Amino acid sequence: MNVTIEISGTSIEGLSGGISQNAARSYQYLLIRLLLGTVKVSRGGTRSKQIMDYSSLPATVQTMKPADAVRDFLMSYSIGGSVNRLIKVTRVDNREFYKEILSEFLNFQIQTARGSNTGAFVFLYRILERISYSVPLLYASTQSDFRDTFKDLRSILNADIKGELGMFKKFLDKGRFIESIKLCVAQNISFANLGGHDADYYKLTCDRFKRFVSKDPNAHELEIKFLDIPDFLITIRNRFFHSLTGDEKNNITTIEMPDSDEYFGRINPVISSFLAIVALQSIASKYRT
Amino acid sequence: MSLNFYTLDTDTVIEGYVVMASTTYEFALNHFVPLIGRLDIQRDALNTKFYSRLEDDIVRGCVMPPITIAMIHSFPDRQQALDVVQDYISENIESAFVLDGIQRLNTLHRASFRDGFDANRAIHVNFIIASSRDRLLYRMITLNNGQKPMSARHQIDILADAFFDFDAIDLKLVAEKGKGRVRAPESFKKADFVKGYIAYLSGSVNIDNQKIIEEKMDELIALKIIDSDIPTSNVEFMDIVDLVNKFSKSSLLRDWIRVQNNFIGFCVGAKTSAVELKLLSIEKIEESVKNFEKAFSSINVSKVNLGKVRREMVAFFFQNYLNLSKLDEFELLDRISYRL
Repeated sequence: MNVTIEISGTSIEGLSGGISQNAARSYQYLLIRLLLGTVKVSRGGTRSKQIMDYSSLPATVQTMKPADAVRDFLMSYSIGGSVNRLIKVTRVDNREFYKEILSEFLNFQIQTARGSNTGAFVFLYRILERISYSVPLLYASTQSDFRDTFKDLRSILNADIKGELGMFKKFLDKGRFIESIKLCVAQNISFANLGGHDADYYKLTCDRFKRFVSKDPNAHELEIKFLDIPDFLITIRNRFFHSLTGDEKNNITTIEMPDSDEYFGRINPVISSFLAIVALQSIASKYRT
Repeated sequence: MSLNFYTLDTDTVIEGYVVMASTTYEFALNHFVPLIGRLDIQRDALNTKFYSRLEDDIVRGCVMPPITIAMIHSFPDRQQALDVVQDYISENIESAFVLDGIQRLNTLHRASFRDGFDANRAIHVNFIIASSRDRLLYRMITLNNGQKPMSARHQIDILADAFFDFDAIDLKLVAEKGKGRVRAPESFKKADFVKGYIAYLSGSVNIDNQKIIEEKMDELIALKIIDSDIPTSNVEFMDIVDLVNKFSKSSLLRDWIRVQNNFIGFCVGAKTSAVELKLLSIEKIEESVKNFEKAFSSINVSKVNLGKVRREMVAFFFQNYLNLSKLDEFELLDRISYRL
């Protein structure tokens, strides 16, 4: 029997077929369905189909039917087993945590659908904060060699790192949670065709963040490595979401950024791609057959 | 310090001339680099990793493909002599455009500040003189478009065809290094063989990740190849092919190396240990592989993960062959499981 699921005011419904009541009991499964691009969400007057498959890098349009998409995910993320097995094993674990993550992603989706990309960005940052301690710990708990895991964790926790997000960066850097090759994939950010403000957005970005793989000052395009996305997210958030006079931190002004919804509309996709893959990988690591 | 002109041809499509020439880096830096940016429709320099590798290679003495310099001029007579056209070029170089090679010239400019840069090395130039700006644009578009840049993977695939003979049925064909085509190891499918070649060049077993879209994967492969030590390495892929042919003397090794994941792992790992492996007897290698398989059989990985882990472990084993081949099954298991 198919049900409409509601998470704190936002409804999720499966595309072409719906989600069974049994499946709906697993927040992790719902999160997977959302991130694979096989659901539609709605809140009040806002309805939006989520058809981007965030499990691929970069994200692509989902072309498979939901059941096939999930089976493909099980294969390509090396989980194995059946969909029913996945629902069963994920139903009971970390319910609070994944319910919250799911809710944040849903909020991101609704805000994006409304064109409020600045608001949508807020949820992306919240997701990063939520996962930065928990994912390394979740992952550590799945490893089969106690001695190594302890060594790894200790090196991450003890290191000279600034803030809790520093630990997450160090964790990612090791290339074990997410394989090194994925960390090197470069994705495009384009500020082209933004009503004459292309150069403004391009400039304000290059002024604040220095680690781009390549820059095209004519086409106003940038390429960023997967591994550098969290730093980019943190930098833009810190520079735009503060405007304290005299703090000398080179915060972004609204003169530089004529339309923040336009701006965030262009950077959100790359950031959400990153967060989605981390979320999917956190589930995949734990439930290998 | 000047241009050496070689040939002159008439281009009747754009009503102009094409001249082949060469000169020194010094001339190019003084006369061509300042031309960049003049043709407004062209893009300015990009700053990518690819060009930083070219910068290294320029200093090390590579020869770049010819750049193309264009000029707009209508000569009074249809058939001009080489020296008339030459003189025109020499006298009007400062009003020319760089049609193809902006990135290379920018890279040359950056390289000129490096230690070891030799300004006397040669750079080859094609001069195109068209009678109008429109005709020049036409030539530029036909030069740069309609030719999709080939991915590294595709380029390797094509060259593999040129280097190795996959269709040969004559079993007595002997491989001769450097001479024309070489017989690929018996009963290797071309696709598997090329995968091994790509793995070897990029130094990575991870060359076909399903969840990374093909275009990005190609970019990564190209990046890894650019970053590799191929120009300076003493080992060549031919050495790997020789080793694989050597393996066919043992029926165990012959069957073992034909498993795709073993082959790919071997292509990456043997890059490091090829020299030692060449000197070892086939019996010794067979023993060590049997030992490896015993250790590997203890690994508890799901079916879905097994291929990937096998590739990685085989690569690890051969990369550190000197040390790991001395260990017994359980010591080896310790080392492998540590890697998982």
